[in-house]
Amino acid sequence: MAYDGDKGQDHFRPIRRIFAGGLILVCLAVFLLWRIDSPRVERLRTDVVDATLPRVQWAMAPITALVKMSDNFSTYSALYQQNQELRRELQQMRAWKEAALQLEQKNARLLDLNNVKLDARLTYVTGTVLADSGSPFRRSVLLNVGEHDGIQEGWAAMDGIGLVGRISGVGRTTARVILLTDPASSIPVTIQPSGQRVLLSGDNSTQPRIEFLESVELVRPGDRVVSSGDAGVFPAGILVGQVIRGPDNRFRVRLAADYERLEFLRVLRYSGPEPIRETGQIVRPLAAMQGPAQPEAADE
Amino acid sequence: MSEGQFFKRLMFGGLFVLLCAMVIMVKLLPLDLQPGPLPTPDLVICLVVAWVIRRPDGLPVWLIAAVVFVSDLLLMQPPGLWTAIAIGATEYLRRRHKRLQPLSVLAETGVFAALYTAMVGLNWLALTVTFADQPSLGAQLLRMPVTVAAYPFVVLLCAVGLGLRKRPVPEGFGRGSAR
Repeated sequence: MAYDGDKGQDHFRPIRRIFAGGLILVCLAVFLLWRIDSPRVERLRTDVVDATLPRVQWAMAPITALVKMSDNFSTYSALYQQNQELRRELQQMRAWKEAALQLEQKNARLLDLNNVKLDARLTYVTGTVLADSGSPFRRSVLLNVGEHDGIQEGWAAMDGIGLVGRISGVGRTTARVILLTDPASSIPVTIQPSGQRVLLSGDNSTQPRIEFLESVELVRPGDRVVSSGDAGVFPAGILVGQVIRGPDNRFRVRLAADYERLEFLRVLRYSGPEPIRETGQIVRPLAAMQGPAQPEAADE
Repeated sequence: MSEGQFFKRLMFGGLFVLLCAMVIMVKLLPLDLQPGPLPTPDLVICLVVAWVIRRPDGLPVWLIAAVVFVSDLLLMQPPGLWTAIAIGATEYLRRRHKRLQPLSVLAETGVFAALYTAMVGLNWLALTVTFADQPSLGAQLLRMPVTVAAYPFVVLLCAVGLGLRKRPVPEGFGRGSAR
């Protein structure tokens, strides 16, 4: 025995082995528990994340900022070209803005004429992105808002333009957003002009797949995709992206949200549509149904 | 064990934890939200294996278990499974410590490649048997060459940056000649 480290191990080897075996068993037990009762162990995970990540934010934030700054700096070289392009786009946008304003006024007038009631309950909480999932197989980000700010499981998160993902896992001061590109993400959406309802499921690529498409001939690349509000998870009508045809000749969606720069995310407060408990109330109030039911029958 | 040696072990253990914490933190930085063409290497396991081959006495099992378990939790992996596999792998290496000691870095990388493949296979098997949600085996295996390629660099960093070298095989025999 030449190594001093091994000297003691000779005597303790059986104990060591039992200790290591015990540790493996404990780990496997935790894994099995996770498999059987996932929410409880996920809760533990959320608590650990909640306890650690906001504390090391002071170390992470400067590095993130530096890298982003250097990224931005490298675009300086193309500044002149970009400027020209932006000017051209601005010209076009002015025309569009004019059109949009006129349409908006027209729309408001028509809505007013029809007495349409708008859903004004949609408010949002904005959070900053703290961290991503850190694993090459999972796509999620951690926000710095949590239970403390009233965030609930399942709410939708979007950047300024489009849908980004949904809340899954809420800690006291943090919440995890599963991005639309995550393999576990699957949300109901509508393809706009044809009104077809499909599922949008991520597969760890930049463009999520469209699944359960009924009639392929009605869908064209370039169609708008918005959330459909089915299953009451998301509010309906949030922009998701545009249909494109992927390299594998399947329909995919180019997301409207800028996934390259997710810094601030809006979490939409939404508790789903109010459930309808009694079937009678769908047709008409119950009291009205009992009274005049007889005369109607007599008339016929 | 003398006092100085105890502190040295403590220092190396602390260094290990610090390095792993740094690796995990850099992974968690919200920089690359777009999935790239290549998966990122699993640097924590590289560190653990390099350390165990070099200084098996400086890295107790419970420390490995704690660090890998926390990385499991933070990196959204199934908690516990990868930790159990990592403990098993390091115990396997520890038992073959004498034979691994004289290997060159290249041969060591070969050992690591075989070991890592077996670990990924075991992980996949366990997740499949328990019907857990997991990325495809192809995607997981694609991560292997990247991780194996990163291993020599981790070894180099440990050797040059931290002075973590294998002990030279002692000239003479008998106790106390190693140090």
